[in-house]
Amino acid sequence: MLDVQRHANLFRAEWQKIAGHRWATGLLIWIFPMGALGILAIMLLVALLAPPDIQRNFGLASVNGSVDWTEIMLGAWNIPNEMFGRIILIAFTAVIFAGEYQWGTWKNLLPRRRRVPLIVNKFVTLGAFVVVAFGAASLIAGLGMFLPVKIAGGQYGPPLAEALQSDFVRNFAVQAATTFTATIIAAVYAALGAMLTHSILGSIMIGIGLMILELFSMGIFALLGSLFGHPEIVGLYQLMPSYNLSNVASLITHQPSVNPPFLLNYVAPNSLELSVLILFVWVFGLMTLTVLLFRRQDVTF
Amino acid sequence: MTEIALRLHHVAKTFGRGKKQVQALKNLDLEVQAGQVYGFLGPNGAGKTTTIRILLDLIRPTRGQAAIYGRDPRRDHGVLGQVGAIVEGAAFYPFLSGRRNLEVLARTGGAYDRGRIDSLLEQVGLAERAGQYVRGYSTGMKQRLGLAAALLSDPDLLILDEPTNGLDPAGIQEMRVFIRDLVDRHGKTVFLSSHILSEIEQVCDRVAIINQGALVREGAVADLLAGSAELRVEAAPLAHAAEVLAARWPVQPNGQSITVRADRAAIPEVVRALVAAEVDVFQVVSQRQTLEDYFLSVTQSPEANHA
Repeated sequence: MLDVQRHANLFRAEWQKIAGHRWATGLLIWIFPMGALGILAIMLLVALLAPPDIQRNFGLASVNGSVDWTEIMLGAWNIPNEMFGRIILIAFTAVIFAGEYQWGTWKNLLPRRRRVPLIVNKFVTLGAFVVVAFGAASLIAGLGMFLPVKIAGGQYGPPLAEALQSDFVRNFAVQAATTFTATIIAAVYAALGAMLTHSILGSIMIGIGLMILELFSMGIFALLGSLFGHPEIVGLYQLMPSYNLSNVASLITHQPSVNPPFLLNYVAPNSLELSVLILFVWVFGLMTLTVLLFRRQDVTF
Repeated sequence: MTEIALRLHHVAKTFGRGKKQVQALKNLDLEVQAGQVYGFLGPNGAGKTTTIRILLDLIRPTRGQAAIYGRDPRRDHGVLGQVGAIVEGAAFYPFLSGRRNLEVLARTGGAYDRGRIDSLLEQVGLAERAGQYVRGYSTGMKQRLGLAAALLSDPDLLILDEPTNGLDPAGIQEMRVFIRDLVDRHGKTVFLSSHILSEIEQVCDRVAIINQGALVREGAVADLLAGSAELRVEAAPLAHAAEVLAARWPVQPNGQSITVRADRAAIPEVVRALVAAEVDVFQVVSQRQTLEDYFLSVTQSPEANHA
């Protein structure tokens, strides 16, 4: 019981720090739910003032029938899984990780708690913070559309009972878990940058560098394949986080598997389960690497 | 038997590799008994902060062992719960208030107590400004907040690295009284690193002086200074006086006077020796060496520089 309380205290401490950094959270995280609110306000204005054809252009009345709030809610989670979203996450996590070096605050924390729980808690709290923010954006976007759609005379659905009977809840949870995973992967990239450079800017640069390297890994694998006469090496791209994050997001929103044309000749797309498993291995492996490096690091600043 | 609060055994630390290698500590041995204020002195780059960081498990020694109340903080991190510290100036989250910073640290340590935070803010004189962002604090205010942070868990041992940096004279005086009070009335142990030697001299029971990563001197302040008392002798003829005194004490000509390595009790004997040798004695003054004089003499001696 006491241990649970200690962990809860540690989580709360990290949450206070993150939430207290209003510039970072405001510009990089809360901007998404705020953006959703802004879009809703525009939709309301369109619903109230614009003629029907413009309202249709704004998606307030679907051509095929009702506006599907479940699709809107699931789609809102895709932002952190795409390149722009991942850059934002790296910048945010860099502030939180490298900030401890830049503000000289590790020296206050490390005598109070072992390094492993401190850093694992940092990952978990960051992930939870981002999930809460995008969960809020998803709720605002999905449920908030009710009002402008109804004002515009459109159909809003499906009914809640029907949505709950479908895979919506499961898919919503998987989207939240994928966002959590994307945050942790971004956080690890930023944390590795922070440990090397001890600066926020350096951490962002290294984090984005690692992400770009990961995105271009398909090209690297293709090059290696042609060099060694084994073009199927390109299939290794399907083991990379970026591929699997996109694949999960796509499958959950009832779109086809991600399958870049380059890969088509060599491998079948990953299933949802395989993508989730690969992401889990990445998260566990990257976190373990960070923890090992952090445990060995001398804190001299 | 008195408890040992802190012990360093053959502690060495080397930073970097190859040509960039720097040996910050060389087989440092130190023992601090509980219930005293222990001064830790050394010139810049002597290894003071490295030693403190090793004690707090912020850096790993290359060799040797550190122990706090007999437990190695590296293997038994829990012992650091008995320690409060300010390391190389207090550092906080600039975007949080003073109170919120203390809350974060208390929660990180697993022991949040709002009442204790209020009381500490009151004690260090920050209660009125606890709600302000730390980015607006002066260096002195940050140091006060640092002291409050160090005391959060009501530790038995306080490790304070330059705690008076940025404090005004009244603040330094308050800090001195506060530190003495912690030891005398509350039974704490304070390991105090400072470059303000007058402060160390006034507040510490014992001191260790390190230079270039090695221990140069260690002992009770009174003992260290007693062994190095001096007499300033004005007499004529000066050369003859020096000759007479040199037969019994170490003597150094010093312009229009002679400095004799002897304590106050030797004055009558000095005067008798000079009168017997028909030297006119004008003045014999006992000069108590300050810790600063002593510090400079031991850290600048060739012996210390080759430690």
